[in-house]
Amino acid sequence: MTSLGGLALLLLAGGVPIFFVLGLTALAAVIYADLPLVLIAHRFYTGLNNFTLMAIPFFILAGLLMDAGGLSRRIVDFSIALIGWVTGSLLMVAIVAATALAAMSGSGSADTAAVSAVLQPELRRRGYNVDFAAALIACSGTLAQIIPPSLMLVLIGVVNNLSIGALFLAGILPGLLVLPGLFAIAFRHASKGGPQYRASQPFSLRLLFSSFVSAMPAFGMAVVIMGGILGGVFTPTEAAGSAVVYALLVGLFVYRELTWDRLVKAMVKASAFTSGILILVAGATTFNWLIADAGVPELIKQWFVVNVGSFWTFLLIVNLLLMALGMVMESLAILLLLSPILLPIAVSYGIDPVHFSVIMVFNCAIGMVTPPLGGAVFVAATIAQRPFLSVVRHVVQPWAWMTFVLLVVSFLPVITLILPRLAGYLD
Amino acid sequence: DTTLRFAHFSVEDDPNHRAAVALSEMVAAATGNDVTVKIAPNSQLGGEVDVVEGILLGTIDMAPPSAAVLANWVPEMNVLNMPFVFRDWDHYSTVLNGPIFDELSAAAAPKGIRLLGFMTSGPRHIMTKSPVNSISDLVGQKIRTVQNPVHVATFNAFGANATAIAYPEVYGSLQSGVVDGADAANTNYFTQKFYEVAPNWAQVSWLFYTNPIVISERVFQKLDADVQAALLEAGRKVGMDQQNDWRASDDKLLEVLQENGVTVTRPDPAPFRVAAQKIYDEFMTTDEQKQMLSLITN
Amino acid sequence: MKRAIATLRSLTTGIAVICFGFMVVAVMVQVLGRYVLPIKVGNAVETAAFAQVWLACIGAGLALRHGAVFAVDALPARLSLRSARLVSVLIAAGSLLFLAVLIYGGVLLTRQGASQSSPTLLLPMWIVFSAVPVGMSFMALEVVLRVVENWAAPFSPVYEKEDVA
Ligand code: NA
Ligand code: NA
Repeated sequence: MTSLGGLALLLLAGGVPIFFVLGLTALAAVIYADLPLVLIAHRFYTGLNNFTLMAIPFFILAGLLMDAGGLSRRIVDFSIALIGWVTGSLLMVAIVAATALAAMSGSGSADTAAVSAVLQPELRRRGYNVDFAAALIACSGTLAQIIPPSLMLVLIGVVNNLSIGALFLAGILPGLLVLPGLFAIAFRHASKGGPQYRASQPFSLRLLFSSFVSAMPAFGMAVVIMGGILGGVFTPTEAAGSAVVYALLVGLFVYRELTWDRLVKAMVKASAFTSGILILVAGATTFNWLIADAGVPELIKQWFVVNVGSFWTFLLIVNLLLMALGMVMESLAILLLLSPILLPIAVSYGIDPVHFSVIMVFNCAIGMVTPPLGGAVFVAATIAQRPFLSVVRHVVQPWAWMTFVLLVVSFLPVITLILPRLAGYLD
Repeated sequence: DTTLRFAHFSVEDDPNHRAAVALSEMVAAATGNDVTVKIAPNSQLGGEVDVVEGILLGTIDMAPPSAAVLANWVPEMNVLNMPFVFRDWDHYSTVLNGPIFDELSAAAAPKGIRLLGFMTSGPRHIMTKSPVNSISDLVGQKIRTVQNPVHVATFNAFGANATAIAYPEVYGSLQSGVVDGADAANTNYFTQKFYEVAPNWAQVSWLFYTNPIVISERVFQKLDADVQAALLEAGRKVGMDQQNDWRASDDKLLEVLQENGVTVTRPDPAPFRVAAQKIYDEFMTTDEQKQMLSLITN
Repeated sequence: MKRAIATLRSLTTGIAVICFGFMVVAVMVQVLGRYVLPIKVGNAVETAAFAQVWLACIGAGLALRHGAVFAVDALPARLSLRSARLVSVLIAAGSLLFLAVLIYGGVLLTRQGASQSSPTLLLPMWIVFSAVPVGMSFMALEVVLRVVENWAAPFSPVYEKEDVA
């Protein structure tokens, strides 16, 4: 077991793609356990043949269509009209826009990319600290994984047979709790900065109204997704499919910005990312089968039962472990590999599986901005055309705040559970 | 020393797991601990379809998948999957432990699957958000069924709109009203807490779900004759005990469900049976299938 | 040769996009079948999941080209050109080894699928299983091409690269 872990880390550090790291480690385990080689292809196929998983391709495509069809831009425009008049306005706009987009997009990087692409030129023009802004946008962007819809919440639900609807509701409050701290950090930075942070456009009710009207069809997306799920119109997977159709229709017929060329580009890009994520899921499925077959989850569970008495300690250990892994591992891989092991243990400590899933997803979302491997920071830095290292320096404050919120959420289950309870998903 | 990997799909506090343990003990005793049956519970090694695929690919040795799933390889298994072929528990047990075992065994072997015995997952009923007092109450209702052509056709024949929902989404879909009802047994109706969101339970026993205990034919043929005999004997015996165990726990569960506020209705089965006849005509078309069906119904 | 590769790339990308479009349509038909259409559709689910299997497998090569097969290449990016080339060849060799195992198993799976029908529509399952050997063969080709095409700078950052999760 330990040598397998060592092998995996070695391959990972050597630049082997994570999909192949999982694959080669699984191969070593199969050979070691003297199991038939065909097992690998079979489990790989099984991981892909999953209807619920289909929410992932759909949310990826919907996000790209929102961008190509002008939906994302109108949400940013509305955010500018709403909060563009305060000190450090563009930073506040970034947070508001990222949060609004989070309610429609399931992907932290897509969210980060959309906000960065629209705001970066303006940030530069007004002389803002571009590195700080990029870091802040990356952190706000990770909210897309906590506030529904969310690829990570779908994934943890699929892997552990939990209701996606319940998980989506559970993510709302923890995601919103992050906001006040981000505003405060942005405000402090702006107040200490030069006059460029105060040169802002005056508030205009007319502009707010017109930009709201213009963004309304885009906001309709959130109504389709969450309203459709809660209103009993469709399942989360179907909601994701409907989000694609909705973004397509708005882009084609309302905003009329979605050309044939852009549509094809979005489809190709969505296919590429979908495949990249799905084969990763399938590779992890293979690996998890071997882990289960070797009885590892049971061993780990026994270790906890013997060594960790209270579930508070358990939660703390899990948070620390995930945080440490978040530095060096890809967030999706952590979720896929560890949730089937940790979730049953959490349940045996009396922790609600939905609550625990949100903790894991929150942790993995933070992992996306935790150096050295921070996917969202990488995206934000790339679009800002700044070196990764000068951006990542500024992640510290928002990171610390998110970690604090995570701990609060961990130890106050009511924050995650109240909405699914009110909606009747849990008792 | 031989180790056989037995995968099943139930939690450990369940008649199916008890049966698996009993099988393991019987085989160990009969072979002087030469053959170990290693149990992987709770779908740890995969769902029913994957596990049968695994048996044929050689990654798993034994399992009790449902007859409905086995029918993807052995269409003859569908005879156990027909609606209303069993009148009641007594009739069901008599048939399972009669000549049909040999018939199905002969049909399965050439497909690489050896039949050892029959376990059950009990009779299936219909849960709904509003009570079903007769078949007419089902008309136009969106009912979630297992994705199997027979089940889909059956519910459509009952007048309902058979709907596909992934299993983990069933609770939420009932709760929010994406579907009006679903098909289940007392066990999963209780353990999945479906009764919280669909508290009406129409006891129709439209299907007795059978789980044949199977082993890979390739693996079976490699074993010594006395081990083969031990497996066959253990499979039949454990299956019969499991059927009795299930029947007892099923009755108790219904009481528990009623204590939890479930409204039980018992619609007249006659119109259901008439509808079921259409399904036999549609799915039991060859002479062998008809002959097999008559083995049960007569 | 270049032309054959370009054609193969367009073909596989086309199949991936068509599978994606089919998934959207199938799920929409399922929703509409419940509310609007007078027909009873309970079958869209199965074909949509099968299209997803094909999309993931046939799109794997495309994913590799778009930098969507995530890797941590901070360390190898600091290597000298000679060592970087060596590491890129080693990575490709390891990747090909795993893909060979997937292709081999995929062939066995496809052969087994000849006698298996799908649960709902009773389609022969080899149609679905063959996605694994076909898609992974194409991915193997892309693994080799990546080494060749990046020979001048094996770990240079791809600027289109974007972690979508
Ligand atoms: Na989101
Ligand atoms: Na990280």
